[in-house]
Amino acid sequence: MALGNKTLDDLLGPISEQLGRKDVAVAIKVPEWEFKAQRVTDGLSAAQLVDLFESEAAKIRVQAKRCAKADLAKAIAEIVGAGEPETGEACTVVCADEEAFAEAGLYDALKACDKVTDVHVWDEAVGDANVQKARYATYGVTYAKAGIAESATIVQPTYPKCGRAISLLPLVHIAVVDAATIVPTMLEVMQSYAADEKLPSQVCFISGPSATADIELVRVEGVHGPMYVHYVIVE
Amino acid sequence: MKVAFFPGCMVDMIYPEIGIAAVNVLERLGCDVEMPDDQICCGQGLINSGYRKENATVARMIVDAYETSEYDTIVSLTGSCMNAIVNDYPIVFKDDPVYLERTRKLGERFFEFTDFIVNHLGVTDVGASFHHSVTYHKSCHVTRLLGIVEPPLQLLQAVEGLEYREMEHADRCCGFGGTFSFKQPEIAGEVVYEKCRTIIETGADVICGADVPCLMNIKGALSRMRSDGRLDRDIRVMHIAQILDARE
Amino acid sequence: MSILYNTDKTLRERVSDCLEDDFKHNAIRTAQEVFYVKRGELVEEMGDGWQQLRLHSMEVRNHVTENLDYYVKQFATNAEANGCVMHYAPTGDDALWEVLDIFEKHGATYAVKSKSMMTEEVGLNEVLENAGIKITETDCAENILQTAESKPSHIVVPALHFNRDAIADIYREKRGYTGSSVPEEITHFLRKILRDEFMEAEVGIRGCNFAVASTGSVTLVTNEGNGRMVDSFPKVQIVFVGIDRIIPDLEALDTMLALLPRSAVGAKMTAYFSLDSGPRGAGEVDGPEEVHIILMDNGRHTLANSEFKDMLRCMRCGACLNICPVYRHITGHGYGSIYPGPMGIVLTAGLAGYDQIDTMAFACSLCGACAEHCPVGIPIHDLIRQHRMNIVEQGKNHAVEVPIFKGLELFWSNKPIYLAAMKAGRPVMKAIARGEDALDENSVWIPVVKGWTSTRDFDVLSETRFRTWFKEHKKEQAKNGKGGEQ
Repeated sequence: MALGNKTLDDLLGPISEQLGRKDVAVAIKVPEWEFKAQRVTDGLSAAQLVDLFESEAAKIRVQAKRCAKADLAKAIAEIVGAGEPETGEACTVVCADEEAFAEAGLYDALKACDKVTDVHVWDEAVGDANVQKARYATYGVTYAKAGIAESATIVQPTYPKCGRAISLLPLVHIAVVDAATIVPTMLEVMQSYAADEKLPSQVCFISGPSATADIELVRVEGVHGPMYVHYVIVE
Repeated sequence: MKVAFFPGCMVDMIYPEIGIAAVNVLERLGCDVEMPDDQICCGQGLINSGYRKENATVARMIVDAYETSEYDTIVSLTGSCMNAIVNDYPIVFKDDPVYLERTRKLGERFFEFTDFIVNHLGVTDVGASFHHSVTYHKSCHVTRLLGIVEPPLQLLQAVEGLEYREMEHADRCCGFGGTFSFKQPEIAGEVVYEKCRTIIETGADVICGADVPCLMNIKGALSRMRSDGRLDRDIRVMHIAQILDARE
Repeated sequence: MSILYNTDKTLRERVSDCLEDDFKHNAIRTAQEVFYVKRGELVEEMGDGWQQLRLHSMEVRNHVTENLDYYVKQFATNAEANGCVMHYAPTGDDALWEVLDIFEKHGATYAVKSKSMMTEEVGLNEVLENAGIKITETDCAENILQTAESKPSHIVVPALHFNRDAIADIYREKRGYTGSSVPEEITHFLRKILRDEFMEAEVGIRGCNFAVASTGSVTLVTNEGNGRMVDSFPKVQIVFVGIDRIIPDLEALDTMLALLPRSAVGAKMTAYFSLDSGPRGAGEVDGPEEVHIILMDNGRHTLANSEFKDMLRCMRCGACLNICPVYRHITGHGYGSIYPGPMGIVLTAGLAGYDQIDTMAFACSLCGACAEHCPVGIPIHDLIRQHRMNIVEQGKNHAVEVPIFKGLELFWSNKPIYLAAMKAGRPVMKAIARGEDALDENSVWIPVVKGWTSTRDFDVLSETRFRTWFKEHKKEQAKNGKGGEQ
């Protein structure tokens, strides 16, 4: 048989045959899973979930801090204001284009920082220039869709105002998480997405800095993605 | 209480003293011990090497010997052999419906030696005294496949004078694995040497277990390490039955 | 077929090589300890939840296996609706052909890859390189292996067999590295050189941990972020998806993700887990413009509805490697398969066939630790034994061993022969042992026996049989009026 150009039927035929049928089942009976696993988050109040999210964040070497909604710009400016995390030198920032950021006056607050030489707000109109900005930026700031308490994971979808590069290319990623969106486990996030008509092109679940232990099992942070991650929990 | 005893072939061939100790312990606990003579080996070395049909020939003899209604309770001295009879024979006899049914019923009457004493007779202190430090190898078949974890430890802890020392990774394989230890001697050697090093590190005078094959393997390795200088003291290798029978 | 490598050597020769390499041997042992402890803590913390999730994962994955054709079709249909270009590969060669075709259509000559076992399985790198295409492995360990032209020794941390000095030397020689042997410095060097490659490459190639049938999504679990880089910047993306990666829906992802990182690396989550549903959307400026999914079978369907169907639940976490007493000593290289360890034996024998695997199916003590630790409850050691039974039934065992096992069958089922052998055996053994109670290393000239005595002493048969003592004992009891019901 010639290679390549195979159809879906070419792939399915042998599978169906192995399963003892001529054609692919048209409809199947999906069992009603009666399933509820015990999780460490069982019975936790909303406030306790935020506490857990924060304590788990520390375990995965994320610096988490809380702030009131009104203080969001100040809280982020405090982090960014320190400049390059290692040298304290001047730095640049790339931010997602979020209404909440604009409302909080974040962009102006960042521009006002002494050590910040450039603040770029993601703009689909400039295309690939966004990626180039992110590539050389010190800080990337995004607004997470949700937080997962069990593993201190943030849920970061991609959309025109928030590209993939912001949470990936800068040396430091600052993720803002609304405390009200912190859920117990990934299950709640998945159930929420399952109810949506269409998924974003990418939903990235981020749990701490990029890391490896490939050389003699020595943990090294900052491999291909950010070396430092901050969560700013807005209450 | 009347019990049928299943010693396993290694006890019959090489280590009768283990069987004798076990019978002593059982009799002291009030058991009337019987043993059919027309049995040799569970044959698991065959199925574990892929020879299922050959194992069936051997297994029929075991089923025939122990199936008699005289024996409600069968005590197996080696957990591994019991696991073969209870869990593997249904595979061995997969194309023999008659023996398949017979072996299923037989399996329900099998008890591992330590489990029998603790959970069936309800005894943990068998009256033994053994003034030595002892470590216990939690063999794969007793611990993992039969799920018997506590009884051997409960029995050991009740022995007068016995000082129990847990070895690191006590529940890891000793590298016996039946014909594996002949077919892959280099690998089996590495695994058992590591087991022996953890035994040696406990500083215990005695290593014991509830599976005779593992003990044979460990004994052989310790003996080799003793003769080539990797071990500088004598460590006794005993079946737990021998400790329970001891007065020393 | 590129599952197997280093096949010029026998399994035994490969094992000997591995046992002689102290650094590799110790590195794998250390890795086992680290993962074992971390995994154990997390499993303990979950209480009953661990077993509940495990059982649920089994139900879900079995359900998919039983309806595999349905779910493959559902996934393919939904992925296509998401805007992915589907390529169907009943065989590995079909997959290679499709990939080459994609490169040709784009005139592309440069690709970056995020670690993917499926691409290893079909030998993709070699084929692309032969076609004049540059392909760079971007996972740190895989990059080390590619640069050093070596093979993985572990499924999760594949370059453990090189120490830091060797790795530094590899990059000094091949990539102009001038730094020290400190892992952090080497890693940050890789960050720098690979970042340029991610931005320049025309094609990104990646695998898929789970494919979601209900949404047509593919997923990727990584720690380093190279998966995200491959997923974000090359304009064309090729995703390898095995037909055994499919789960029904998004909810099942939670179950699988609760099990996978804990089992693989002892973490609640990896740094990154991405759920990808098609190419970049309108108004997005990064992410692939084209996503090509290579949906590949390559022999997997033969496991469905077979003795080995449980293996289709495997999620390649490596938990079985991390507990295996054999893998601990022989490392991935001993097996000579890209799928090593307990799961590797089952899968390699299942996909490559018994003629190809030497004695791999016998490199296992059947201790069952793998099955106990498997997050999706695969009875791995039973499946290894099933392969052995099939090998014997199909006559693919070594002819020389057959008389030995036939002899054991007779010996263990015929009492007169057994007793006669016992009687004759002791003096022979005693003579070989020069009167001692055990055969020592001087007996290695004897076939079969040497298998044992090359590394351990072998106790000689006892003077009397236990059964003889027992009969005497009962006679004695009867004489003394003991025994009977008490």
